[in-house]
Amino acid sequence: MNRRCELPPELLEAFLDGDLSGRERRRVETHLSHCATCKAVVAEENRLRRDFSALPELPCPDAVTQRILAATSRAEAAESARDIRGARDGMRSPRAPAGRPESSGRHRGWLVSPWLAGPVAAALIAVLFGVGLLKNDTGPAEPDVAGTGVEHAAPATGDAEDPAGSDLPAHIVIGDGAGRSADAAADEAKLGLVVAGRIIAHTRGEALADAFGKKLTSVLQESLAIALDRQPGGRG
Amino acid sequence: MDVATFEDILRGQRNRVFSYACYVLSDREDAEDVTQEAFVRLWERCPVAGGDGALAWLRRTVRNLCIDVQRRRGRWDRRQVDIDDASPLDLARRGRRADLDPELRLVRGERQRALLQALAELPEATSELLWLHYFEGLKYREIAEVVDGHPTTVKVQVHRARRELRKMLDERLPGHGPGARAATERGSEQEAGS
Repeated sequence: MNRRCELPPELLEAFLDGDLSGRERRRVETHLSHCATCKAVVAEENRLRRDFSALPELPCPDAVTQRILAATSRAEAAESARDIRGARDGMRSPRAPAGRPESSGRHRGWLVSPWLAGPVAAALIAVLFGVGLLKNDTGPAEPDVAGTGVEHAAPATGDAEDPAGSDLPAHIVIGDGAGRSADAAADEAKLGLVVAGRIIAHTRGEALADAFGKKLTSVLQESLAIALDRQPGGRG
Repeated sequence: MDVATFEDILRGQRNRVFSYACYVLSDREDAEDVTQEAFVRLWERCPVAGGDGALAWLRRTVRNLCIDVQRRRGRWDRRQVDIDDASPLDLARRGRRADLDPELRLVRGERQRALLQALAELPEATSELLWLHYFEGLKYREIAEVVDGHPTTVKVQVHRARRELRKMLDERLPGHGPGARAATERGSEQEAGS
């Protein structure tokens, strides 16, 4: 529009925004039919919108997505480990399986990652159950724990030379405390691996599965270390 | 916010968030950092369960993170100044910023490059409004939520900003402005044909 144009600038802007209706809109349209300057402004605006809409959407790198997952998982792993200790030491219930307690007032340290909520809860229950077995030292075969489809074998007593290490993946660290119940630790680790396998099977992609598997492994390592500490002659 | 909601937002918005940050910051690495931090904060801190409220929270977070980056660069300027009034230092800073990241090589065509260049040279507060209005397609009310302003004020600011942008493009692109409509049409035809 130029300075000689009788159309108020705000009216033309409102027209460009599509905010006019009825009489005012017809007024602007009539004006545009004989005002080349304002007509050009409208054309420019339309061109500008096309230019913006034609800007390509840049794909977020996969590495960034993985870092997001890893960042959320790290915080949750720490929380999960604290939960294990708290639940065992204070005999309080594990947290809710999904999401953060709305009334917690905490803003950091989500308890369980979104993709890991249910499985980790199952794993925690399983681990706690396993710790109980270690405490009892001996006992009958345990029932299926947390729906994993796996029955706990009765932990053996004695001072075996770490038989657990023979059939566990290398990334599962059993610990180095003297006199610990290696068989029980192996049972627990095996159960954890089954749960981890289920998590991987239920995740949607390799990256997610990898992140979940690593997270659960981390949780199991922590819980195993705690369990070993509680054994007679353990580090604790 | 439940698991499925966060997952949907992450999958649905990550490209949008990254694109916005990349365009606004003109730097791929900064955009990656902003994208990562925005989603982590969404998961850790967002008080809204989902829906438009969560998206608005995410947009505000992205916006604030971009401002943080720009402040670290020493470029954030809330003044609605005309570029002609900018100090030599401002112009020097904008000149560096206008050296667009190679990530933006995907942007093709003289018009789009001129558009990005003009946006990069505008004061951050001004270009931000234009990005939110045109690229994000937000209404004035939604922009006001993001920038924590009043919708009427935002509306006036957007109007002023787009007039300024049109003026800049008019100066840079022969035939873009109202005074050369015929030339613009010819230029568009040539560009479309190239």
